[in-house]
Amino acid sequence: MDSVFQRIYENHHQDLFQFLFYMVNNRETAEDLVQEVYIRVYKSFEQFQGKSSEKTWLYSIARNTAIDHFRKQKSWKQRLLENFDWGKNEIKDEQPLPEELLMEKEELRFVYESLKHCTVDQKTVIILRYIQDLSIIETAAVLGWTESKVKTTQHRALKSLKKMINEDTEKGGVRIEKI
Amino acid sequence: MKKYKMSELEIQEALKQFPKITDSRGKEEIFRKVSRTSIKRKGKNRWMPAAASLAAIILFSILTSSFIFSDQSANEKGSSRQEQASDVRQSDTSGGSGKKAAEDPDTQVPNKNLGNTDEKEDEAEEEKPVEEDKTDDHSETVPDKKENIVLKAATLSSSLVLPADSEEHSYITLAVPDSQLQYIIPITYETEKADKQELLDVLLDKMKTINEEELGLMDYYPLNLGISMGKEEGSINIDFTDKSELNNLYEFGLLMALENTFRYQGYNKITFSTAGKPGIELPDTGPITERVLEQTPKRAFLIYQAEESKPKFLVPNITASSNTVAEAIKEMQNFEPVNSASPSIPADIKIEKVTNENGRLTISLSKDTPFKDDESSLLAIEAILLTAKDFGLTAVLFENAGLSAIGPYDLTKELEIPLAPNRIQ
Repeated sequence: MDSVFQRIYENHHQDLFQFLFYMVNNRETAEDLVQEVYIRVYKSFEQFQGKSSEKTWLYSIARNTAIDHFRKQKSWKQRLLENFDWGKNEIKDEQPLPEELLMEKEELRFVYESLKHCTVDQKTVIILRYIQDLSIIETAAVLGWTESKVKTTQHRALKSLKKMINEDTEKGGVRIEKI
Repeated sequence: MKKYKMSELEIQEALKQFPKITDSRGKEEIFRKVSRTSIKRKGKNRWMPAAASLAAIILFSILTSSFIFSDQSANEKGSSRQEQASDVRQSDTSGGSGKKAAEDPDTQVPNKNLGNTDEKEDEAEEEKPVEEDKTDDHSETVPDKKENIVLKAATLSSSLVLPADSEEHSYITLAVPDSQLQYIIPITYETEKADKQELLDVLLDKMKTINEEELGLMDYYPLNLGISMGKEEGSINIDFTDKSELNNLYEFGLLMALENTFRYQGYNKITFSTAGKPGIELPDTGPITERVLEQTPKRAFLIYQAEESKPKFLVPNITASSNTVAEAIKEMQNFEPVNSASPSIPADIKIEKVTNENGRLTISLSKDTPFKDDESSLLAIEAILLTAKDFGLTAVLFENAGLSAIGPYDLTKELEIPLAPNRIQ
């Protein structure tokens, strides 16, 4: 087995998988995307040269992979749904709750569902900061942003999560689909 | 239904408690799948260039078939080819050295206009048979050819800023990193004639307004730095008003972007300061007060295109510098495509000799593999010109070019070294 693969697998695989899972909310898609990350790593590894940390470099590739996935998804969805007056929430809410979250507290499930409705940038920052436990500096390095941009996005994301959770529960709860 | 009033703090706590999600597949299974996908893609890619070339040949045959049939003898074909080439040059000269062509709204983004060429050629071809039906006289068809050639010259335009262009306009160049921070792409904008301070203001303004993502590049600018003319002649000062700003940018990427931006602006030194005091402590480099801008960084220029829908750019290979210009030319042809970058000299062009005498670079092509009047040859020539500039050379001459002119370049003469690459409107 390839030594680059071996090392990345040992050190980063589960983190990258978890990041992708929370980005796309689907296990199968996360499995495909994490494989795509390895392929992209192979293509550009020679040029990596350790100029940034390997961890943040890998996350930035994973993030780009997820964004490309959203783009592709968006294009077919747009084609399909353009002429229908369907609510955006319904389009986004198609993934059932993962089994890991079924046994968790209801608050967690609300936050999970609300996170799906954040913008891709807000979602990325929240996942990197709170779920993957990256520092502001590391998150900025992954996204190629300034530290202040990360802070602003994080602040806006939390604000919009709070608004969504509180509004939705007042209306009768965040929609949670079980398998 | 239970109601929740969660505070931001509670949301943060909830996020931290999200369950660990693990990939339950084994290491071997994943490795097998990755290898299989890579192999499949390689196989697929091998056929792509061949299929594209075949499509191009078929298209070219259809477009030119009427010319070929109308030409009676091989000699006539040869002379008409010469005629075409010189007409390209003439039409360009009359159009202001190809600059007019670049100003054509259809060619706002350079090197991405072959689609337009085809469309226009199609239109020209559609009109042609009607006229041919009227008469069999060959002399009647010549003006049509010229028309077609003029169209071609108008669309096959240069993306470089040539010395003659600077007579009427000034230019600013902003170096933008790609999304992986592996390449720095110098993008040039035309502006009204202005002095150095005014140009710096235009550049700083461009940093605020540039839409990098539209070009397929990283959303990088503006930088939260104080940028002003330095105390010494030819120097630019970068002030880190907020030192923590350093942590937000990859040091290597930042230095590369600054160096490549200000080198093209004609500066020869960058000085650094922290909140007005000279010097800065960089995480990797350590303390630094200034950085001299190497005027001849000796790099090979490659083609960069983020994706098919984005424009093509000529970019220096910043990760490797060559010892000699001959080595750089070799690299431009043999470069292994990676991360959206690809060789700038087509593999089918055989370069027999590269000589460098008194600042003039002479590239001798094999007689069997001359340049073609197409985008890839134009890009190859422009990449060679930029590489020659990077080596501090003053002129480039092509031997056995096969064409007397392409785009704005008269290939029968020495070509001047350009001022800047990747001009966009």
